[in-house]
Amino acid sequence: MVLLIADPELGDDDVTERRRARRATWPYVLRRLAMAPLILLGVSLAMFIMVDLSPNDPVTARLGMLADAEARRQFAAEHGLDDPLPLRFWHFLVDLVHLDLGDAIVRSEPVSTLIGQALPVTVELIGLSLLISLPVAALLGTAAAWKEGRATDRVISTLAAFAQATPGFWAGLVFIQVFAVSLGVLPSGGYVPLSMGFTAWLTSMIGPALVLAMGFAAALTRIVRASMADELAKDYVRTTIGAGVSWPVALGQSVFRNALLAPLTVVGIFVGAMMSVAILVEVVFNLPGLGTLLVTGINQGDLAVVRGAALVGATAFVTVNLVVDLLYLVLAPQSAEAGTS
Amino acid sequence: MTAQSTLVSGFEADPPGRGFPPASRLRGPVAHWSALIVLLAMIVLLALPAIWTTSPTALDPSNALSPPSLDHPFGTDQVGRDIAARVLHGARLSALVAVASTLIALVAGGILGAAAATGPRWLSEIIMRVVDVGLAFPGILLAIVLAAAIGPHLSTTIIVLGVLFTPPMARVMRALVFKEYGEDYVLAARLTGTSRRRLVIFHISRNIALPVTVFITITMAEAIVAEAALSFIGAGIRPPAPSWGNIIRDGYTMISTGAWWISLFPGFAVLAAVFGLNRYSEMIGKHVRMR
Repeated sequence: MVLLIADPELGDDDVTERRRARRATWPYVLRRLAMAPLILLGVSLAMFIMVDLSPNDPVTARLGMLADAEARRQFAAEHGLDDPLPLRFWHFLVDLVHLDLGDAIVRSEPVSTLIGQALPVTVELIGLSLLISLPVAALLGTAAAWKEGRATDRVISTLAAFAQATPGFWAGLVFIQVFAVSLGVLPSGGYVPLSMGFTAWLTSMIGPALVLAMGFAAALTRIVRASMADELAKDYVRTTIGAGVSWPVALGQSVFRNALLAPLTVVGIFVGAMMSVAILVEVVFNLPGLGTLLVTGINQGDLAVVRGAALVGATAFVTVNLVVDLLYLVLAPQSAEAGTS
Repeated sequence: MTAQSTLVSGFEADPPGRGFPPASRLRGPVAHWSALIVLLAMIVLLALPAIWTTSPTALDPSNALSPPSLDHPFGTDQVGRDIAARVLHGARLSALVAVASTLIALVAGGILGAAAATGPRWLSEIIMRVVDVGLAFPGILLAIVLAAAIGPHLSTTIIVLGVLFTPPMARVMRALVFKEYGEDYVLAARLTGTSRRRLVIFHISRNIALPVTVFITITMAEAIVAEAALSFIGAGIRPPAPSWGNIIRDGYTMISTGAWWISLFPGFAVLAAVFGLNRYSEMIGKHVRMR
């Protein structure tokens, strides 16, 4: 694929081509925007059926094993448990629109309240590790591409391959073992809210954020390296340098912009991988985020909580992918054709 | 993905040089490395549990939490089980889960992808929109929820991971089959009256075998990590069966005692397996691009 947009040597034909491409993007954007809610509807249905088919019985969960048949029947009638599946799904959707995800059984609080408490922790965790991993990946990837095939490249590439193969939750365990148990310089887990002071917050978050950043940075480094190497080998780069433009200016003006487009498309996909690692890292570091909520819900058999947390996770993932795709279109409109299939 | 050759040889359904290469054509570093990795994996999976005869489940409370020694090279856990034996037997479980779940995804994803690529438009639309829903779950979230709904067990883990890997497999399969459908040999075969099913099963499958192998290898690596993750949070394989994930979980519960060896070695095992499979897929991938 030829990325025309920031190419310094644009002819008249190319400009026309770009205009045409930009017009062709609109159907794609609309299609993409229309698909997202439909996909989320499908996700809700899948979640609803999964929880419905599970052997967990909400009546037993609420009333206990010893409840008599009359009480059971009454509870089921009150909560509409005997209604046909489509009707129950409809009620579930109506509640969902009102942000009502039902009540947690064990902690007897609305699921939406629990999610409201947990979500900021997860967002902070992922945000902080993005803040760490993006510059690291851009820097290491560029350095490796710059020295392609030489020692620097080989060291960076090998380290990245190892880091990518390391399971995040295990890395978290090793981290705790080294920094909390052996050296005693960091807490072994737990969460301090930002309102308690930045240093205390950072001390509680830096471990999980670094562990989460490791895998993501490694995967991204390899993609930046490949993309950068391709870009640096292009004729226009040589022309620009030959014309007397200094390397920092050439890199900043065009090479970076072109070379970082390809990695952008995969960021959306990687965020999904990052979210699943985040679930486990939260559990390992005992952070009260969505992941911990989800896993606690599973261990307690509280499927309302599991369903709510999973729905929020899927919604976030779909939204991030939508935003990344649209952002990519803004930066490289001619890719729309490739994306319509 | 594949660098297609423009060579089309008459009416032969399989033009030479485009299928899975015979062993004699896989030379150079690809052949050596893959042979070495496969050989090592085989030795670990088949021979070592026989050589290392210590039972992975035998309790020895008097020897609990002992650090690595000659008797127990990887140490023992809180009930005195030999970590080395557990990690070695865990390799078998991991391999079983990886192969079985990938096979489920390959069959289901292959059928769905081929149907979407060759079937009528309405069928293709339905399949791909369902696949989109499957892909809307980030990472192993779908597997965690499914496993929670069904209940933790070895067979659950395999089925759940098979379901998890089916949507991406279907998407890759659709793209590959769709691309092959534009080739002249497919047209030739269709003109001579070959049925669609026969065409996919006997001709197209051979020509997409190599890129599919790349994807299968990556999927197996993902399955190994996913199994470890599921077992670690208690939604996968339950103890006392030795799975890498639940050995790491044992180490996690014992972390404050300073028994670092419990989780360290199964973690390295996951790392090594994933690293090996990733490199293997990269090598085949390079081979695919070079042709």
